[in-house]
Amino acid sequence: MSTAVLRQHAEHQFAEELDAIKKVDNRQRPANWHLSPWAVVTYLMGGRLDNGFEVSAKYIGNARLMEIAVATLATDRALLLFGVPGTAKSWVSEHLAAAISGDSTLLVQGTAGTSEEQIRYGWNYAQLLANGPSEKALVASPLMQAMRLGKIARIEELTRIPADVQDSLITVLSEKTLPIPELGSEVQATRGFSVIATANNRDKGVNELSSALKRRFNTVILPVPSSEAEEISIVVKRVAELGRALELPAEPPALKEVARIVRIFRELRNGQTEDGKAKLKSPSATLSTAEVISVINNGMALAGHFGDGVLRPADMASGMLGAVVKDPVQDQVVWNEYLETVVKERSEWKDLYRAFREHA
Amino acid sequence: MSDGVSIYGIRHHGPGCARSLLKALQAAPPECVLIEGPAGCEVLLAHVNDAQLQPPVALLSHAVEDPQRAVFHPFAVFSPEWQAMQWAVRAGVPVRFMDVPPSVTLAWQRQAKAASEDSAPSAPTTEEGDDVAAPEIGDDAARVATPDASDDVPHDPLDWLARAAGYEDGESWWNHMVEERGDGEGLFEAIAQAMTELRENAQLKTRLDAGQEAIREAHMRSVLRETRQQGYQRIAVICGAWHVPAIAAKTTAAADQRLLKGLEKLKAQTTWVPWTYRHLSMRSGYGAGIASPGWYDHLWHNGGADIRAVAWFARIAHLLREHELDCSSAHLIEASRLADTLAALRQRPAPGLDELNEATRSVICNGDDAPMRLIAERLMLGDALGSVPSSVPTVPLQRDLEAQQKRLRLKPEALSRKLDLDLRNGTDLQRSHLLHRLNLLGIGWGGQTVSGRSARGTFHEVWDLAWEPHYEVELIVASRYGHTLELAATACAVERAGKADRLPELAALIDRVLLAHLSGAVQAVAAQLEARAATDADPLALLGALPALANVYRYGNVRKTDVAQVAHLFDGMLLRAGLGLPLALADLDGEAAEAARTVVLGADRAVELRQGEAQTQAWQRALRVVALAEGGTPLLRGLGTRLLLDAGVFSTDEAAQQISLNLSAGAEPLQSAQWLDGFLNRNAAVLLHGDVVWPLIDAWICGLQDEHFMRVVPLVRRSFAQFEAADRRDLSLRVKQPAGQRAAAASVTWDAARANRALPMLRELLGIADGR
Repeated sequence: MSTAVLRQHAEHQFAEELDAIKKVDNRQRPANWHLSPWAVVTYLMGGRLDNGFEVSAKYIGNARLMEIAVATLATDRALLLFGVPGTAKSWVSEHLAAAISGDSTLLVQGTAGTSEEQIRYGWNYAQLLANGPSEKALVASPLMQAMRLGKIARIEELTRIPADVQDSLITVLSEKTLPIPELGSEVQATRGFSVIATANNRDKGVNELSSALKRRFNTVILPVPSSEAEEISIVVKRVAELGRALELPAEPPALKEVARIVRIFRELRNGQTEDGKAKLKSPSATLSTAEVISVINNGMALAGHFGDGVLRPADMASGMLGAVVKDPVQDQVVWNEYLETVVKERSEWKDLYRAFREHA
Repeated sequence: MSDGVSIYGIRHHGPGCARSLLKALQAAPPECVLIEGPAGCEVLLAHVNDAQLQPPVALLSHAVEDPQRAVFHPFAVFSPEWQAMQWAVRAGVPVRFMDVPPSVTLAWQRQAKAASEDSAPSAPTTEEGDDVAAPEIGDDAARVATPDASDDVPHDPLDWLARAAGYEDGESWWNHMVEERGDGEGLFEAIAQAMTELRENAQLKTRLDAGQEAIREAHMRSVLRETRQQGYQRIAVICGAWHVPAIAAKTTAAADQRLLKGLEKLKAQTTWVPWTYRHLSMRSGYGAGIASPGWYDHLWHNGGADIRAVAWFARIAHLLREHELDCSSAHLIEASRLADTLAALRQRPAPGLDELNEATRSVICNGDDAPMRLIAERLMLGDALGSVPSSVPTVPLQRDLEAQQKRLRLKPEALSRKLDLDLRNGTDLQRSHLLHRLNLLGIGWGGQTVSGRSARGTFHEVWDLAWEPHYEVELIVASRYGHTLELAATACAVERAGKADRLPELAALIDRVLLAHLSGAVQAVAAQLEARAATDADPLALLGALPALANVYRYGNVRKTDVAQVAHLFDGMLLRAGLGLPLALADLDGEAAEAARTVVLGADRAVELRQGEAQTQAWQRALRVVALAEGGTPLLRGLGTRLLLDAGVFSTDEAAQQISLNLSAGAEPLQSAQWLDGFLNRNAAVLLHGDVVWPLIDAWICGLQDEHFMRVVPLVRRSFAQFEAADRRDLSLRVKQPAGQRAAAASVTWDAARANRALPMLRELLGIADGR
């Protein structure tokens, strides 16, 4: 595999692990699956195999969620991964497809402009004009490919796709067939075919799924990290990686600073203080882990290029404000209330309070 | 033991155990049944087959001298002990309880209380939870010493077995191995073996009450010994699985007698009380609680693993449809498939509650939590309430009420009578507390006819008393909240606070618990109120709750209530409301603005009652922003200006500037009139008696050009029409006086001697004694 590629597909990057798991995996496999359901869960959650091989964790969190996801696909139901942005939905979907079908590339990216052709099939117009409708003139979508090959098709950001286009999935998911009226034929799904869709909790309002379509998916909600420690470790790891990749001149931030920022995000997101003693209002922003990482990166860039290279509260204030206050009226009230009732009261947070106050 | 004694180790409230036990009893009927229950309470077994004794019920034992001390032994329909009792009573087989009598456990409870008294007085609500003699689950999880989470030694001995089997905790392991299984052959031998192994080899937390444990087991052994001496051959012993090895152990009678000698005892009385599944669950703090009584109920009624899952899903569908949530048969089919696959993936023969829940969430609820909460509340927990026949002896709550009625000389009489309480008098104050507490419990013996404050000052309450027979029944129902009125009313108020979903409701509740003098409940309700205040986005709702709090704060002293906490609450809510107020008061139309005016006026009075400098300043800051906001609602801006002028925050000049700004020619006439309406505040006094506002309005009216004047007149007239007729007459008189004359009139000197001459006659007319 060429190393010049910026980012490799999961099945290439973790080919060694997949091979190792396959060697020890002697459990029953559903038709056309490369691994057994048990092995897929092991691949996702990591662990030590019987032969001593160490599998890295792809998903950090509750194993039961991955079990539900794998069991769903094993019952040839479609899987809908729901969650706020930055909760590793696409990441999980890619690895599931890589582990089950050995192929994570059968992907339809959902956008407001996604058309029916991208989901079902299109035509090669030169062929179409020359020879009329024929198998040859047909351009199969990734979904159709997956049906033919018995693999997993992935649909990203399902709720961004216009509702009428979404509905073309219903026949595929319930009858497992894709009719081609122009040719008077159809493509019937081979065993092993299924669909993993991801969607954003916050995008509900864009194109909410019709109940007919919703009924054909099993939904798994990927939560934000459950504990402060878990979230801090994710943030520290990602910040270090990104800082290296972007060649930021600043020192990686002290754990203390990361912990404070994570706590602010968690408290506002959860609507209560970490000690569980006081309730808070939550702003309209999503406040995902990914945003914590970006606030800290932003602060590191500021500190490196314009400051003394050490991340200080003032460097993060503007990024923080931007992340929290998405609605200039309501969120500002929430933020002010948080500053006055929580940040101000914590004696060891005086510097933070001052920095935020100056910026507000 | 070989000689005809079968020991059945069970988990209390385990449906699988109950089923296997029943089968075992039918297969080999014993001549006598020994059950791990409070010794000496066998008389109450007479009620077991009474149709009116419907589980869940509990055996409640309380100390005669001190009804606060009580222990419960709850039974559900799926409890093995309950099934064994019913079987025995039906079959005419004698039943004996073999645990130590309640008199001993009550004494232990008193010792434990005395020991912990000085360290940390426990909240009254948890009182019923720490029932020392609660029949422990097979594993006794609730009774380990001090729970410290960091430790690697599990709290629950079953956790050892669960870990070995690859389960997360003992609870799910036991569920899976015992309760959710069919009728396990040789189940009880296996349990006995496992427990023997655990007790001998597993590393366990040291128990605080290891001594008591030994005494209880000695007692069980000696009851068994006695029973055999009475000549019974085939004896069935039903006890928590944990005790099986101890009962089977070979110990001499003398050794056991030594342990049992000289135990301290409290005089105790026992009766049946109705129970609920909620109180049976761990959430209620009951030591031997189970996580999901509703699920166990389902397990008991639906034996076969094949239809169990489907029947559960069908109940979910029924529940969801009842609440108008979609759930089709196709959902159920897919959910069952997913549950089965999950069970297979986890290598379990049939889906358990975990798998069913996950399938429900994923397929039926689309990942949504709200319907899951409904399912947890209504199905997993369940809302069953037991009942007891009226022939059972009285409960301690009734005793407590009787004692208080006697002490306070308040006889329950069916005939309605009036009672005027002077709260400055100690007895009357306690009477008031008693009546308020009963009202909180929904027992309306006394109805407060006249709110004391308005009629005869803050220290009087007038009550209408009428006792109705059904209050007795309601007392029994309420007894599940606690054994004394204070405890019961506290628990009831706390529960109600958890359910209340509107701020004013909570504020009213806090008023009621303060009136009833329930300091424990005040804490809980205040915490609820605080939490709700923090998340309630509507500042007007916050302001709406302030008057009730201010009343409590201001008049609380008469009732000797703790007002500091209320003040803290008040301040917090005022701060939050103040921050959001300007936003909330912007752009309100007619009716909403009127409603907001009432709320703001109420809050203003409340802040005045609070009499705190910081609070007044915060409130005035918020009002100032409201008054000066551009594009705000004119009515409320006018009101804000007026309130600030009255409070002396706005100087005359500032107010004058506001008046002319808002009433100037450039302003929309309708808005000007609304502003003026708010400013005048339906109150002519400021125009009549103050020398500040009058000239300002006067100058404005006089300065109007003809055309503008004609446009404004009807609107201003509307504001003035709301004044009293007498005020309007006085206003017109004042208008007729030339400017400046009024000031002169005020300084006229008068002849004291002439005025004095009229005084005696005035005294006579008014009936005031001469010389005073």
